[in-house]
Amino acid sequence: MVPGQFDNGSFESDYDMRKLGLVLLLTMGWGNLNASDDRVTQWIETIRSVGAQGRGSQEARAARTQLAGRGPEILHDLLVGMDTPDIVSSNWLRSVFDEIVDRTWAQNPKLIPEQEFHDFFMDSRREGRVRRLVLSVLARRDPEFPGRIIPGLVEDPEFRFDAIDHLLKQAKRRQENNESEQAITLFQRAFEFSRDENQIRTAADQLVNLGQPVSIVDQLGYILDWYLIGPFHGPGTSSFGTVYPPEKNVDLQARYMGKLGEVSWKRYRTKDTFGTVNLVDTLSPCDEAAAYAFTVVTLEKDHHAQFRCGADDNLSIWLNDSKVFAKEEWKNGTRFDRFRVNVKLKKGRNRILVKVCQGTKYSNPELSNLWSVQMRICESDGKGVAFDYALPEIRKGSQLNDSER
Amino acid sequence: MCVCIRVLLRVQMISLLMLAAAVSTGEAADWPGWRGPQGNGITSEKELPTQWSENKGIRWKVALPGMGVSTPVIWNEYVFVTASSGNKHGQLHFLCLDRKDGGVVWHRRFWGTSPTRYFQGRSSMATPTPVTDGSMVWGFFGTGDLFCLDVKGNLLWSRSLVQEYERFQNRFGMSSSPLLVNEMLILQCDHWGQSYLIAMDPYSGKNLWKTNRKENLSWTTPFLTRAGGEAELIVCGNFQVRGYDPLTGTEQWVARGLTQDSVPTAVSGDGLIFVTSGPGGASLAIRPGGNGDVTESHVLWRTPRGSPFVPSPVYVKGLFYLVSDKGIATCLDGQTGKPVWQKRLGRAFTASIIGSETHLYYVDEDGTTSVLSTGPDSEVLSRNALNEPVFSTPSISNGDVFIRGIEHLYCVDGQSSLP
Repeated sequence: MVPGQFDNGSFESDYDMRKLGLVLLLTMGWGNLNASDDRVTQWIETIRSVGAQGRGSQEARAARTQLAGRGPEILHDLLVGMDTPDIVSSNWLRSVFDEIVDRTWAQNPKLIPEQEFHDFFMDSRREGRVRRLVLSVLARRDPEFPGRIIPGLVEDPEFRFDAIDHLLKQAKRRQENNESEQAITLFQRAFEFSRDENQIRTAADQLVNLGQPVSIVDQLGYILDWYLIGPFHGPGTSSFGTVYPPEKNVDLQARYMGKLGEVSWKRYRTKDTFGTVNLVDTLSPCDEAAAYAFTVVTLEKDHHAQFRCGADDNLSIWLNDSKVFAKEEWKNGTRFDRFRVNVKLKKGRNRILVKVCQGTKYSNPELSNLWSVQMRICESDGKGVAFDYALPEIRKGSQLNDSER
Repeated sequence: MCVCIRVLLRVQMISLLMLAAAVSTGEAADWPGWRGPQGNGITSEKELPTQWSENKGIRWKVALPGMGVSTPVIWNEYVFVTASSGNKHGQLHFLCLDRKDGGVVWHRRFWGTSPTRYFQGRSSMATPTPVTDGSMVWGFFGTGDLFCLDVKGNLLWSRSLVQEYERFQNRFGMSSSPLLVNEMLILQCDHWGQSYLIAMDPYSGKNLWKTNRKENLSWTTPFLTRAGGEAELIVCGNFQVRGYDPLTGTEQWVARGLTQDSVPTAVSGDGLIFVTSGPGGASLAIRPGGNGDVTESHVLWRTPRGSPFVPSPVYVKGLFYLVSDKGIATCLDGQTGKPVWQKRLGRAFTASIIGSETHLYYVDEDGTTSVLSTGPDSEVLSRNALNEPVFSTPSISNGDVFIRGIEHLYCVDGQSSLP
């Protein structure tokens, strides 16, 4: 019998009544469950609507209270809700998540939905910090879990560093046990997939020790070969905004009046493992100035790539005479991959001009005024792009060598 | 804001400051924020411990998560402390401990929006000190995130200033602590981007006012004073100090004479404002109540003697006390700036001086606290060593001294450590 339909408008027996009651109960219950899921969704959306200056916080508090009264059945919903670049709303939901996890753990850890958590963790499209949160819960259930899973994530956007760290430790253990071949294999894998300065350096150094030299420059795509000119005078911090002659036209034959006398372009190839050009050593120690580095690279085809750079102080970049990057930030040091800019390199020749400024002297006499730049061309995942140089030769006597520095 | 409300708030602020000044009765006090109940590093309490060690006089010692240099703040039985951990210190920790035994009452974890560079081993994203009024606690982190929780640990509101404005550019990590005064939560956000001073409604997070600043990077905290009768917000920064109207954020005056890197917080006393900066900088005594550039008109004295880079000074009974980062403690006459005494204490200092009218605590980076008597004939009363480095400024409450080492928080038991 279907609820709402009666034989002759009446129930034939108590059994039918009980059946009707059961059906009604189940129908209402299912309806309530749906309504309940809708409310959870609504509460999560209320929290995700918090805005600037604490807007929506009162509503968020109320929603949070409601959500916190629920159990582990909403944990996955909370994870999905936290999967957003908006840290403010994410933190609200996290406060609920942590509370429910702790309460559930105290009652019965097996109630944590392990498979849902595992699937979320393995989805590399999810926000990395939320995946780490999930990992912490999974590791609580199974302390061996990270050790089983992480080493395989060498290309994972969030866990690559952790995976390489694991590989390096494994390799080191093999090396200490004189298992050279296995150590080499592991160090090579770490070198191939690492995108961290210290990790790649460690892998490279150990491979050299094991008789397997590798090139960080090639692996990461560092530019080594430049023409340099400077210093140009830039009082205070004016050099960043001042247009010096190389910005108008790169004339490798030209001479200009610089801060310390006449300046002209000089060829320089750095030997630094990470492509750092030390402008204090190659041009001159000075303060309140600007210098330029110029190179030409060739590619076999058009290529969407990234410039990843570090500079002290600040950095401007022109690609094929168009300014593609400018960042004014004084006294912050040249650091690995500090600046990233997406570029489109064309097949054939690509002209790259870089401007690096030098700020005022430090008031603390213990701090020296460094001046340097490093730059590489790579894919979006950090692997170096292969290129050749096409730097023109200029008149004799313009090339810096070790004895001139 | 209408004039009548401004006048009312101003009367309230003066009343509040008068009330704060009147609490010099020697009774037990809370330590609710950076530099204590009056923001000047000085407590009105009188019975304070002077001797302790790792094995004596310590009521409890608890391990803290991650790393942090923020001062623990205390209200009644609550000890609030912040920390950060993880990759780039993007994992934020907000804890409440029980002051009786250091037990964790609650521990909240949040994500930080935009970690900056920091001083490895000496700072983190948890350098700003939280602030509380006993019913709520506010914590600010170098990632640009500001949280308001009730004392039970429930999140009431939060903001990401870097999502709303721009990410901080600070090579040593933001250090400015929030200042809670007269129903305003005030933050100084000086960095390589657009610096600003901002006042918020502490109950909702809504802006009350926001003033852009010309200065760039600094690590100091605003100080509220009524040294001249009217309330003034003293904000140190690159090369100069500014006085603002705290109700509106309007700049009133500026005095030049600080160094490029400004870290110590101002203090005041006997009608003067005292600021200092280094290294190689000077201390200045400034008459309040000025207008415009007061460098020539209101700076009473200036001296390079003993100026610190990081530790903030104190002012007690006419004397201005400093400690340099290299361990030289200096006492200057507040009215003239003339040296009264100098002593060599520890090897190096990051923590600011705190104390009472009779005792001053200088905690060096090795974890040794020199306790000195105040006054022109100051003596070193004791040296008390702990087994770990200390970069955080301690706090005092109800006779206890709370010292945060690089890994642990210590509660020096006021009862067992009295002389």
